[in-house]
Amino acid sequence: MNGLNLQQMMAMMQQGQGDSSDAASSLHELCSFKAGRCQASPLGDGSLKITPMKGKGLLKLTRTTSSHSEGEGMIHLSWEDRKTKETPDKFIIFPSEAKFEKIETPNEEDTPVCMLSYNGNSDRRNFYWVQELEFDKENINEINTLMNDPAKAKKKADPEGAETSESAPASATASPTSGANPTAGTSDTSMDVVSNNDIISSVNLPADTSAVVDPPANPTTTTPAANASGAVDVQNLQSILSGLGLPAASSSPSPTASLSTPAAPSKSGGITLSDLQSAMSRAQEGESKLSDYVTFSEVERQGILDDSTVVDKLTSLLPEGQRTKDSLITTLRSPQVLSALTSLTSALNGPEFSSVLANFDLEMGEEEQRLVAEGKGVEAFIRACEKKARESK
Amino acid sequence: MSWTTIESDPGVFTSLVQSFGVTGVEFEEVFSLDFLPASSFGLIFLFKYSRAGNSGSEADAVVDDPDVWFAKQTVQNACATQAILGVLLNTDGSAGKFELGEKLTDFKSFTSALPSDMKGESIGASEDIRVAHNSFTRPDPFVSDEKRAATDDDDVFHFIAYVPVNGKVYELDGLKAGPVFLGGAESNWQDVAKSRIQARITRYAESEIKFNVLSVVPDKVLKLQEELKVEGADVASLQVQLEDEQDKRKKWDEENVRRKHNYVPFVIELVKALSGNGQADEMLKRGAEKRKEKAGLS
Repeated sequence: MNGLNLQQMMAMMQQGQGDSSDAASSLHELCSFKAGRCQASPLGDGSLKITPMKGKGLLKLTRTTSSHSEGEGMIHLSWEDRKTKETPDKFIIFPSEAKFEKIETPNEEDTPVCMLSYNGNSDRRNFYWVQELEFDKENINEINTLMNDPAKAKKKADPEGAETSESAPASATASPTSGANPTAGTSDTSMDVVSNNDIISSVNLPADTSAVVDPPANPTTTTPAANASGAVDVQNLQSILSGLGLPAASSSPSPTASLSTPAAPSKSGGITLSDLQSAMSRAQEGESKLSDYVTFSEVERQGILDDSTVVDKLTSLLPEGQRTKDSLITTLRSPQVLSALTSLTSALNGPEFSSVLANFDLEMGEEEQRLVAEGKGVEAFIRACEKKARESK
Repeated sequence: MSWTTIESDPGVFTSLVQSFGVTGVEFEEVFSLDFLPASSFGLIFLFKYSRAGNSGSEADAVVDDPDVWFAKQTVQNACATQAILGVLLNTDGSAGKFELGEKLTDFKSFTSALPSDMKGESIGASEDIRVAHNSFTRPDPFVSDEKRAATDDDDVFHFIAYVPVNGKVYELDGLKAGPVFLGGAESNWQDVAKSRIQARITRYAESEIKFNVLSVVPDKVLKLQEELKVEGADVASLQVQLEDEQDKRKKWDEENVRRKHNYVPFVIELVKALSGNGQADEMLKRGAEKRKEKAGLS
């Protein structure tokens, strides 16, 4: 689980419930535009292939009123299928959490494609293609403003100020829905605004070519079905929560939170933002991981791939047939390297620390010993590598 | 003689069966039950559940059909290979040509007269099969194979095979006493299997279980190569498809090479490269900040 922040976790929990409370009176629509969804599949080299999916839809930004179970002021972004009225995409957006932008497509005249991305988590992106004939920068700006500026959102939702200024407490009972993987088929709807062919060719991300997007920072390991939209499903959330020592659906009352963010204080049962925050700081005091330090962006920042000695040395440790610089770059983002970092981290945080060092010809000096005693095996290892690298210069 | 877990990936499974000596077959991931590949030798339905909850085996009637090769599961970590064998050793092959190869043909005839628990044991005992299976395990120099095999994983995978055998559709679940007869395969056997899979998905929907479906299909490269030989074929289009399939294979091969490689020496060298030029302090600082951010305390 990379880059999940508290707010996203709260959002995830609340996504699972509250569907039944979407009565017309509990939501104000802030803005909407016709859009279709896109499928994003990672290509081997870290970029994404964006494929527009058929189906007329509506991307809507709404704000909850005080009669909503979440209380007043929660912003939701959702994609609704205009034919079936189903809402497969539904996100709670906290301020400063997400942004909405148009992505670069090969031609100016292409149908615009937009991306919803989260600031803390580059693995999580959703793509939509515009089904309106008139759509420009103003529309995008409006969405971003409404997502990130609670005052403006309130003004847009309720220009007359009919809502009370105090938000009513709402329960934050987490009852995650079943996390069934959507292997059941989705039905495609046909278009009548623009014909299918027009769309597919005009987007010029024709079904089989790619619009290259910035690669995600940390690729997910491939296990059964990699979730293309990068969203965290509820099942994973439950294991995170239990790992933090929190029940997934609390039955005992929790203290009310007093935070300025639009968190919902709990009435009876449920986890509050402050519960999560303290659990998180407990978790933070745990052991660090090599993958926190050794990242592709760190590799880029230091520019070590510009150093041919380094490149030669690293490629020599790659499997035969993959000893090229291109392969090196792919490898640096591969799940296998992440796996190796994880194994090494476990070994460094365990009793075999000194044998790991010995095995790889590194020395255990005073500083390393001190760090290990403090439970900082990973940091000790990095210092040992630093010394070794200095010596061999 | 331990078995370690392998990744449930079509590239891994295709390479695995090739290492058993099977030809003419590949694996394809099924993203939607509404779009099952038309020609299929069998389906593998796999799901991941926590040991705490269980897969809730329903009380289905099992049959004793001598035509069906059925093994009871004896080795948890071998379950993927076991389901794959369930398809390969049983399929009526109506989806296309394929060759079981010498190893598996011998294995099948050697085990055919054994009761189902012994069939399961035979998989466990087969050096050839075990070695091929284990070769796809991620090399981890810090953990011995034995230790890894014995690790009590909280998440367990279970694999179930669906296969047409002589006009009948069977569900092969190693945790049951025998094969479950689902129906006749007069029209489309996959429709029969599909309803069963859908029923299971619906039942599991309450319990946060993740699942996936793989189809065992005729080798696409071979199929396209055959089609190209046909008089009047649309060469241009077939050629493009063939190249796509070959690219896919190449990618699978590269990934499999990576899966089998021990990257620990590489990673150590990488850490040295990142720490050596006076950058260790900065790197440590950035990492610490990132951890704080991830913990949501920004």
